[in-house]
Amino acid sequence: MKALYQNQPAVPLTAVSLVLPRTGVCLEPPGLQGVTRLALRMIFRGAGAFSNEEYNSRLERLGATVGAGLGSDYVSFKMLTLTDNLDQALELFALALDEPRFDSGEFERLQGELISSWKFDRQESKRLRALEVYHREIYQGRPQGYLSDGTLEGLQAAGLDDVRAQFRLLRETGRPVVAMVSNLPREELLEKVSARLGATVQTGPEEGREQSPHPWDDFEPPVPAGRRVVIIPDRDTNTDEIILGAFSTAQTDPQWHLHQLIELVFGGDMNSRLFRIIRGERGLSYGASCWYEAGRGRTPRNQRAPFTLYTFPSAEHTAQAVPLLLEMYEELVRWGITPEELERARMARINSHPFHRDTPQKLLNLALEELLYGVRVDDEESNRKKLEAVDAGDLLKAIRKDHDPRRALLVMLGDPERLLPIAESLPDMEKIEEMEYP
Amino acid sequence: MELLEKHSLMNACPLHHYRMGNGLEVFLLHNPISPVAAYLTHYTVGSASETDRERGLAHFFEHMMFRETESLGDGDFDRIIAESGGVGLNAFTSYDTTAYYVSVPSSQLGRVIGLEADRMANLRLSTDLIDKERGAVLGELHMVKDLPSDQLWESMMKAAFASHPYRHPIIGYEEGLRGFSGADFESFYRTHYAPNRAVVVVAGGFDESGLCDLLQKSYGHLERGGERPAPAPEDPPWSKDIRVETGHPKVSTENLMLGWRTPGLTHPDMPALLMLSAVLSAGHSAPLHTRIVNTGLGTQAAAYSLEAEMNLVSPGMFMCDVVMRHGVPAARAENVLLEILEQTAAGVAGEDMERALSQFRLGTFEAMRTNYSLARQVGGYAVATGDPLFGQKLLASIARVGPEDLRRVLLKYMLDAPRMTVIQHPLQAVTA
Repeated sequence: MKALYQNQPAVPLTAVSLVLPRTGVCLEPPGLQGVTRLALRMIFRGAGAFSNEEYNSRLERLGATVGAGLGSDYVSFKMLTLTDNLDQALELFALALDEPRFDSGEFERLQGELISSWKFDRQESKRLRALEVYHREIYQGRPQGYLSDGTLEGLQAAGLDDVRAQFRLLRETGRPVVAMVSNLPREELLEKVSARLGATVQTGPEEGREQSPHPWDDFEPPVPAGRRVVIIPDRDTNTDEIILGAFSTAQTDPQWHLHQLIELVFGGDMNSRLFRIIRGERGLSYGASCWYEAGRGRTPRNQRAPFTLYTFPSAEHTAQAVPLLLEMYEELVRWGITPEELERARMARINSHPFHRDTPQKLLNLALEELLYGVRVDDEESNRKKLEAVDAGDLLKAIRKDHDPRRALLVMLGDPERLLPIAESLPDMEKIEEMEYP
Repeated sequence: MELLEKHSLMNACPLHHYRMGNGLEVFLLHNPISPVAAYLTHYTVGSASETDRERGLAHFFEHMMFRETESLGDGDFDRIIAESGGVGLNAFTSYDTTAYYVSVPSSQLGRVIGLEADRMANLRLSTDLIDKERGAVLGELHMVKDLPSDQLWESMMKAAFASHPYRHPIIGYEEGLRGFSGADFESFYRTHYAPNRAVVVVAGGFDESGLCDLLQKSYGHLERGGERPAPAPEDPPWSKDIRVETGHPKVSTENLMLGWRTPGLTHPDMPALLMLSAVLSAGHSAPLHTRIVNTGLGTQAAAYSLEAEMNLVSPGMFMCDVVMRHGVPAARAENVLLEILEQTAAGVAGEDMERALSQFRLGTFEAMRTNYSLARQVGGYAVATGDPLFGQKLLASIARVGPEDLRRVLLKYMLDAPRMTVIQHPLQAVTA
């Protein structure tokens, strides 16, 4: 059993996660996006001799909760419990993983619930709708671009047999890693977890055997011919959603420390260019930011992923905010960042280093990311030395190497009658499309 | 700075309570193995402190606290925090409090203390910067207007409170936000921002003696301000049921909120009301989940105390909220909710009491997993109740609640009392 552990002596809780790498949303069959989410939810809706209600009642009386995590290339099953009741909670957790009931009545209820939640989440969050279209379009419809909660069509089309098959696939494909935080000492916890989960984790391909191919293995980012705008119509809104981005680098890039500086200077906090100019100086939007998606965990950290700029101006300010956003991105690539900006970002990165390791959960995540993706966080001294050696010229080279606003995708959600002239006024747009949200 | 009390939290973390001569309350939560610390400053002012012409000013003012002081230019505050390695710099305005927070490496605490003390007394409120910030605040207002759940919340608070200031949205109204002048901000600052109106909480790794010296040096000379005004008078009890039906163009499901007036966070009945909320909705085996979510009526259902959720100083409500499934009318969940309350009053199984208490314990310990969440809990209760250990005491009181207590509070506050019902429909479905 591959196990990672961190001690949190002062809090009488134990968290256990079973991570299955090389699985995730990307393994969903075409047209069934959302089937993994259904499978992950179904296993905690009745197991062994227990109905859904009986199972959850037993678990919750122990002061425990269970759940699942889902990414593009992994799934994880999670349990958190009062440590006093760890043994019983582990038994129930293992039961769900080994003997889920997949009751047909429960499936129908869950499917209806998830479809309704899917719609509710999108009616509440315009940002989610815009990001969903942005990812689908920037990945040009490939499986890597789907969000973890699936599509409406996929959730509707999936049947119970599909869900069973997907769960089986996950178990057979992923070689499990157990990640734990507890107030118990390592050996004591390992003994308990081995006793209760030992058989459960003996699934997936054997150590040393070649694993089946995964869609991320030979992934190459699509290269668009030019700059493109997608307008998602949403009338009668007070603010618009604006997302701009293009493929950039991976977190395992040897120059990742340079990109962290670039992110911080350009749109990483309240002191950044985007925030300062778009909100602070112009008052065009409540917020403006940017991020490298490779560092956020939605996609594997060792894969190239988009660099994304985001703002949500009041409708009256969108005509100013959109060209400004694009212009600021182009200027970043043209001129880089100033020595003063570099100095501030360098100090911030050096001084904030302790936050990589300030909680047991973060330490556990670091260990997991190193194991799964080869991501390594430098120790404090190496981090300092590496950052002190950077100059503005290094940053400009890194920006120009890994940023290309000429191939950027711009997604705008709002009233198309207002947004279309804005899109048409932007320079060098190869294509402008209006795309009804499903 | 005088050490008033020494306590120990459930996780054995020491909590030391200090007070300065100018009235500043300081709570230190020492976690010796942490290389960082969370620094929170709660001011005892929120939207409920505003006069009628100030609606939205507490929140707008919160934005201005990040701009200029007499010694720092616009943007310097954020810049110095960032250069110090600070993360999570932000603030929030609630009904009774405004809180500013950041986490920094322990070695940088001195810089944060200097900055926070500086903006407590030396803020510059130039018209130019107010006008610049106005755009961001209006942008936030517009964003909130597009959020159906926020609009439902505003409708609910307006219906529930006839004259108490909780009825006004924290963010205020567009006309007011467009009209605030520099003099409005100056007056608000001088009235509400002073050491005796603030509670500072530091949680994490630090040398306590050195930290106390720094705090004393930075805050000790600041002048005491006016006292915290008494809370607004309570509304009279509801004489009859309240029913509000509203609409939003962006919703496709109905949303339901039921509310009943309750007596306030420090009232002796509050542990029973909190236990009731957990019996009803903590976990997937709780009746709100099994009878509303599992039966296909709604996708989310929750019972909670408004006072506890929002750390209210004045009495609030016991709430039950349901997000309905598509095509299911809210009235169906309303009937089921009332049935559940009747059945709960008739008796609660020991297993359900056990579940509720266990889930409470789990939640309490979860809040101790990070410096920030611990500091926020201690500071929030200190401002709302005057007692930083209130959360711990509440848990002890909740453990003593029995089914007969649940029946008593159910009858007293809900089943024999007027009820508020707020339903949000897809806009086209609202009837005249």
